[in-house]
Amino acid sequence: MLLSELPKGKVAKIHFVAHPHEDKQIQLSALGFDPGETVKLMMKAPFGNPLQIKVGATLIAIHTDDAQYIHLCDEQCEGHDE
Amino acid sequence: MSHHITLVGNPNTGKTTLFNKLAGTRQKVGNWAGVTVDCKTGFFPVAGQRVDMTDLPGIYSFATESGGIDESVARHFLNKGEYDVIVNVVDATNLKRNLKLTKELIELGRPMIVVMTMTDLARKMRIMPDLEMLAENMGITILDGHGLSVIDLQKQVLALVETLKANPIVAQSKPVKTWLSGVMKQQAKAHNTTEFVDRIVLHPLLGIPIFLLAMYAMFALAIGLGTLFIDPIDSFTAYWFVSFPSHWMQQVGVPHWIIIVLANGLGGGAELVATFVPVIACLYLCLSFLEDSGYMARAAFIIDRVMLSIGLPGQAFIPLLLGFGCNVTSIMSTRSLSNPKQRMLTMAMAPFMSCSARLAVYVMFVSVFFRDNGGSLVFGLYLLGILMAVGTAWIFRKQLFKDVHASSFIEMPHYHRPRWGNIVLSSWHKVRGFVIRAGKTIIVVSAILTILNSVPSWRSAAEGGKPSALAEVGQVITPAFSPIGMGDNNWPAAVGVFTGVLAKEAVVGTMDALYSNVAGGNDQAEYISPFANLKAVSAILWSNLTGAMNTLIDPLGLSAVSDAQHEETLSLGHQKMVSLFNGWQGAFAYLVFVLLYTPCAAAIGALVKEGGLLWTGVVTAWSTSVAYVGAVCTYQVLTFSQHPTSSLVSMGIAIAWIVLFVFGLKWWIKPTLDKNIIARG
Repeated sequence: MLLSELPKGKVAKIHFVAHPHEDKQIQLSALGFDPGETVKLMMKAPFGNPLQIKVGATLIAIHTDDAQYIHLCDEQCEGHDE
Repeated sequence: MSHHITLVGNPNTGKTTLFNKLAGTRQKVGNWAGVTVDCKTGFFPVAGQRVDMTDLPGIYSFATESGGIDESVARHFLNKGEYDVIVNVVDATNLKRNLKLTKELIELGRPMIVVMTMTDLARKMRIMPDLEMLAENMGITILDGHGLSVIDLQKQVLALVETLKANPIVAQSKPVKTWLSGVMKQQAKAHNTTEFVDRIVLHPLLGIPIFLLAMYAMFALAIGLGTLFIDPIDSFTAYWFVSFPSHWMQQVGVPHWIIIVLANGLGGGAELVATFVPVIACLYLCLSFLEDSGYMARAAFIIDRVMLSIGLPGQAFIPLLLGFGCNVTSIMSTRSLSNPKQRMLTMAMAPFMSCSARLAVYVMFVSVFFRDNGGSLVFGLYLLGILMAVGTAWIFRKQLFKDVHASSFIEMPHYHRPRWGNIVLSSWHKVRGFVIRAGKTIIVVSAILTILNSVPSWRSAAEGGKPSALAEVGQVITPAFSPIGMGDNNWPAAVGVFTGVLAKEAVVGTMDALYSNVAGGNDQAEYISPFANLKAVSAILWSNLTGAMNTLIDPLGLSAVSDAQHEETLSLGHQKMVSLFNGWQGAFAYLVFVLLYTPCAAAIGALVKEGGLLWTGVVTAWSTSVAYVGAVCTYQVLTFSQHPTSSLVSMGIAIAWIVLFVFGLKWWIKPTLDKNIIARG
């Protein structure tokens, strides 16, 4: 599943992040989007964009365009920690 | 002995609070060489020694070559700057994320200490780490920045810096997970206040009304409250900078022209700068409050989708909104945008937001020409301004900033009780920055115009001379305004265009004076004693404060429009005005021009400070061109049936100019601009 598809209020683990822009890939990692970290969709802005995501203990606003590059673990997969 | 430390940390960690705690008022804000990033330095004396501090911009990571200006400034200083010890500011409520930067810092191989902030909040949320254990795991001393008193904190920082200077131990870089093992002793609270508040303020239905209410409150406070103090300050500074010195210089026998240059020119410029101080101070207080409490990031979140449609992030909404009060505050607040291209784009849009000074001009015209439909006319003008701003964003993005990405990630900090000391201190530094840096440009521009306005014409009145040199210039260039419907003898309107650059509301004063044939130039008020001035100032202040309720209900002052519609008869001056403008069409075209043209001296000063000279030039030329072309098209369309051929020709030439300008942006401006941005980044 992708972060952009995560239903509201559900907690998931990040499997891996594959953003095509190198800059953003680095930024995402600096903000705490790492494999194994937990994410939760807290709120959606009006018109469905951006999303308020809780990653670890941090609240981040992220667009669905960017969230679609963050892959989440499905039930069988275990996020491997760094 | 003196020591030098540098503060490094993530954004929103309370780094500035810590800096203020340590330095108090012993600090100053400058710019890092060549970039518009604040560079804060300060010091504190403790135990007979002096510790200097450099506050680096808040960053998440500096290891990469990419990233914004903030990252490159921090990277440059950390690698090449002179400092003894790094003080890493770490937010206890966001430990794991913050320690990523700590890891990068350790890898620099310089002596370092950690100061933990937000420990009060962390304790409340039951996520407070065991500091001793964490320090042992990391091999770095950790201080509790919140728990320690100012003097204890200063003493401990000094002691640690001395130890590290004598014996520079560098900690081992280990994975963040190893550092954190066994550090968390408590089970975090399932629900915290931030999440609870967010469920309300970011609610799909409630979110927008709350946002609008917050914006309205900010606007009413920043603009409404600030405006109450403009008149008293204006009257006070006009007396002490202009009337008082000019009266005494006259008594001592100083030549007239020196008085004009010193008192009217420079003194008048200083007066103009002073009148902006209350509004700007109120603005910064409001912005600091929103920022410090944590709502600012939420406001950006709510409006983000709407702003995205013009290629700007949610944070750009606030500068544009403030533009309706005053373009200067609008330009100054673009600093909250981190991306320089988005910042420049917002600055280019800001002058088209119809500020409250322009409303004074609309009101005058409504009372003379448009009594029946003043309300809808003024509404239409505001709307036209917004359309032009959006159009500008569209064109500039296409021609200049094609690669600007609107989407970025915003961290939403935990809500925090505002720290008043912090808010006041940082607002004070920003106001001082405005007075010192933007003030220079404002004084120069206004001095030139005032002096031209005060210098008598080279022709005597008998030869048909005008009241001032500026009026003569006005007469010479009046024909250039004939395509926008200004009659050949309507030179007062042309002079109004010039004095309007000084301050937009000056258009009204100039036209009023010139149409009623009051001799200009020597209309200085009668000299009064300092005591009488103070009395007058307090009277104005009192009457403004007692009328404050009206300001809160009507922060834009729009009720003046309906008042103007109900005025009794036209004065002689206004009757002359009617005869000189080419009908209501000419008057309307003139209003379109006033709405859109050259930013005022103060806005130009702010533009120079925030965007540099080149960008100021581009924005000024663009708004002036758009205004002229817009006014030409308005007048020609409205009077098309009277002279179809000449209308077509005028509009054709005007539109050709704008098209040339748009292409010129790409051909001539873009290369220089790209070079500048790269040099800055």
